[in-house]
Amino acid sequence: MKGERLGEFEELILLAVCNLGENAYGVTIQETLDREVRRSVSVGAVYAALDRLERKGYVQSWVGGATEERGGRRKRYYRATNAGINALIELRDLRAELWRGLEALGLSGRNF
Amino acid sequence: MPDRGEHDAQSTPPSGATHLLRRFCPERWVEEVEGDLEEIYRHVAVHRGLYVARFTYWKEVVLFCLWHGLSRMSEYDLTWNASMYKNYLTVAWRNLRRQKGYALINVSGLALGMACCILILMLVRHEFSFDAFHEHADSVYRLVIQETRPDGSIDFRNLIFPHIGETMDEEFPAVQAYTNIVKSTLDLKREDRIFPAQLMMADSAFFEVFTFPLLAGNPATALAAPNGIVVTERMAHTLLGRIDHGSILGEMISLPFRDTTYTFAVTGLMADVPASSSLQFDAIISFKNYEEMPLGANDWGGRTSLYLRLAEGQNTAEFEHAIIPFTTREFGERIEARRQGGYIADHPDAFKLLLQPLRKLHLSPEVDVSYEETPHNPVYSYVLSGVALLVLLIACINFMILSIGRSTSRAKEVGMRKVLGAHRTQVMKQFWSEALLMGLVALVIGIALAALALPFFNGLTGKQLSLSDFADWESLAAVLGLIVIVGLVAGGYPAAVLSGFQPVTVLKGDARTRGNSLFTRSLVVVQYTLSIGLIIGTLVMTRQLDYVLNRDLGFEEDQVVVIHTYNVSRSEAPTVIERFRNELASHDQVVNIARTGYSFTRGGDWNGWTDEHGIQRNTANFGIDYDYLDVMGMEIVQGRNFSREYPSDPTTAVLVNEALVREFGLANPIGHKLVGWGNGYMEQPPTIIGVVRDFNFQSLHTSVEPAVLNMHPDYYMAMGAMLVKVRGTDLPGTIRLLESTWNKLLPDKPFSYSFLSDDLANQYQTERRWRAILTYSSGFAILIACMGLFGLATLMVIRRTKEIGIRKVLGASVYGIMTLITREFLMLVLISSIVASPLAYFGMNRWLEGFAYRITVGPGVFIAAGALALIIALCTVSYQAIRAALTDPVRSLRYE
Repeated sequence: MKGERLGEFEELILLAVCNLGENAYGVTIQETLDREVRRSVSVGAVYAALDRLERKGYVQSWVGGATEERGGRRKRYYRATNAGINALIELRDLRAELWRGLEALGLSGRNF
Repeated sequence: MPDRGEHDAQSTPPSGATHLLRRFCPERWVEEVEGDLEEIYRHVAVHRGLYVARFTYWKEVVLFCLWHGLSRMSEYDLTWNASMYKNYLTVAWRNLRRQKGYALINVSGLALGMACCILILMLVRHEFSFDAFHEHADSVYRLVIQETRPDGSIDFRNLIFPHIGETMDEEFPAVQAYTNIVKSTLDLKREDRIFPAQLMMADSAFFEVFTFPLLAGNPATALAAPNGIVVTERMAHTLLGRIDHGSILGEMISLPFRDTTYTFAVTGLMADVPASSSLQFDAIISFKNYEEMPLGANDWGGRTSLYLRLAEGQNTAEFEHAIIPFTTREFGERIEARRQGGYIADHPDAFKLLLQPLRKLHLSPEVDVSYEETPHNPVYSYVLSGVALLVLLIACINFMILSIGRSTSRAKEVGMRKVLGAHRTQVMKQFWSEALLMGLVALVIGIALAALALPFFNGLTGKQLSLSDFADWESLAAVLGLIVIVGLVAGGYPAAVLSGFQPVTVLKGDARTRGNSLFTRSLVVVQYTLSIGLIIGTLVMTRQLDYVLNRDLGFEEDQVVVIHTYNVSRSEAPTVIERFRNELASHDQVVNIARTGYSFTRGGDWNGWTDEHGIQRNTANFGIDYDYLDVMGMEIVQGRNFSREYPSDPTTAVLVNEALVREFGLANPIGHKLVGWGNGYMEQPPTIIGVVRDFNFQSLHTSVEPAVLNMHPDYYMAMGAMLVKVRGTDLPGTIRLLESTWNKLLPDKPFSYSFLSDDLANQYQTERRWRAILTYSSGFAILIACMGLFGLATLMVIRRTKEIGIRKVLGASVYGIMTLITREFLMLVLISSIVASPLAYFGMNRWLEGFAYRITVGPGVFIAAGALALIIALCTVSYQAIRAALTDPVRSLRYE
């Protein structure tokens, strides 16, 4: 990781975006967090995180897919960029490495 | 729930929320976010109903705005604005420095207005915060008696039989705790130290009803034992010399009462009683001492203030209804006696027990108090707040007038800013923030002024307010509110005017000044109207007070010394007065001595007598003796006075006043047998032997009411007072003489006296306070208004420098130029007084209606107030006018 860091909430959002594939936009991302992570967040918070992620270059967005149930307004779809996916992997590896250090001390997850 | 169906799915989200979203959402997202939220809205509407959906939508919108509203600002506004604001501050500061005089007038006017406002708001807040500090303030009530008089008017009595509290506590589960309260001022002693303490007696549950935290001792038991005493810190300091929380308990204090000295052990140390408490005292002892030490007053057997703490949420009306049988049982005898005596009407509702909420006690002047602080009429607070706001308004107007008047000098700056790309709203913001800045400076000075004036203000109002009592969030909020209001009102119009300048015009140097506009003139008129209105109010009050104090009352109040003899019993009285007469008979300073049941303003006795139509009427009774009329200088208009030559007079005869003859409809009063209350102690209805000219025994708020004067020996409960008519050429000597005679005859009783004229004048204390406050307010109002006028005149003279120069060159006289400048301002003041007069007339007439005897407000007051304002304005303006008129035209014309 160079300058940019991935916050915990941003990480969750980014993972949700990856999980949703081609259908990642505000509402579905909020739903995923609610369902999978049991975190109830506002749309505003989701957009704030997406905005930061986009500026860091971890997600890309484009508009499209107007439906009637949203008053004919278009959606802003999000997709993780390669940089985003790399950042996720990097974060996971970093954590795994740190966990190995803990296990070497005999402290595995369940013992906490 | 699928059956909510199509309808909910079709509805649209609340439009207000959508607008909010559009306002704050970053523009690049508006469409998507709106879409997302609508999708959610539809989804929730179908599954969980419309209300939940609306709520969710609103919640999402508000949260979104909170998240992104700020970030939207930060993209553009914040960084840029920060440097602009810095620039505004710099410019504002430079302007203030360049025109010190203007800044001084402006800021000090505002500061004065704010200081007035702060002081008055403190007072009002103090009055409204009474007794709020008790933990159970909202469920504590005082039990009062509501009596309906025969004529239908309502009267409240505040004293209750001492045993009622305990009985109620046993019978009604809603009563959580009760306490009787009585209070007297007595000397507490400890070795050689004496402390004249307000000593209260209360039941052991006192601290369950009221919240007075103990610094030492146990509140549950402090008043349980009869010989325990709880002292305040202040008293502990004076009497015990030190306060050591640990060892103060058990210290002994003695109390001489009548012939015995009682000893008490300290069982509790209490923080001093807050100024906002209706109960003020220095020490409390247990009510168990009451039998031995009956402190306080007596009103038909009612002796104590009874406070009840009811269960939280207890409905008071229900409780009042539930105790009706109790009232009949416990008060039956008294009700009967009151009815017999003609005090109360003849229906079952005429005597009722009511609950008076503790929080309302201080704001209900209609219910008497015996042991509590005098209640406050909230109307006064409202009027005062109004006056405070008026003064502040005048200061704000000053600010506006001066800012606009000075606009020429700022016009170029505005033009420049606009040329360089400033938006109108930005210029407005600039002037607005300048006004706020000035407001802030004025506030700081205002608070300092208020703090300085506080001791004086306390003297004026008879309160002990201190700034530290107001160091809380509410006051901070009020003060900030004050700045914002001042900023908005005072800065609003100048900001609008200044920001409206057209850059092209002003930069060409052709700034048409707006300082002379109709609007500015109307502001001056408003200012002076308010000031003149206040002056008229002051004048009317002064004249009315002079009138009530100097009016012929039907007796001569001067040179009458009232010796208070409440502590002389009925059996002792005749001997005491006889011996007094004998002792003083030879003294040339003493003219005559009389005895009375009640001296005027020091109590009274009202009973029912029957008029010509058989209707019982409320009548004042006075117990007097042979010399009373002589001492009081009252006149007999018909018949004769009581006389020692008719031995049956005391038991068979009464005197009445003219009002009784009139209102009872007696055609031939002399010889008329008066039926009614006196039958209780007189064997037969007494005969009227004389009619006394009407005398005002009450304040002049009421007209003379019917009165009966009798001298039946059984009438007196106690002696009441001895009235001594003195020659008055050596008052200090006479008082010393009276005191030494008293001490010789009644060595064990304290000598206490007053002058009848002082007692009568004291009835108008509220009015005096009012007049004082109004006098100062109008003084400040006119002072602030003059500051504005002075500033305005200065600006006008500067603006017209050239014109004046040319006029002088063409031969105008100094006088002519002065007239030119002052004429306009004087016109404005004249208009103001014309506008103010009818307004003040109506306002003051309302106030005067509270007096049965009042002055008629003639044109003199209005002319005087107008003239006063005119003269003050003239003095203010003429300084500038003279300066302008005397300026050498060469200098003024060269100035280009």
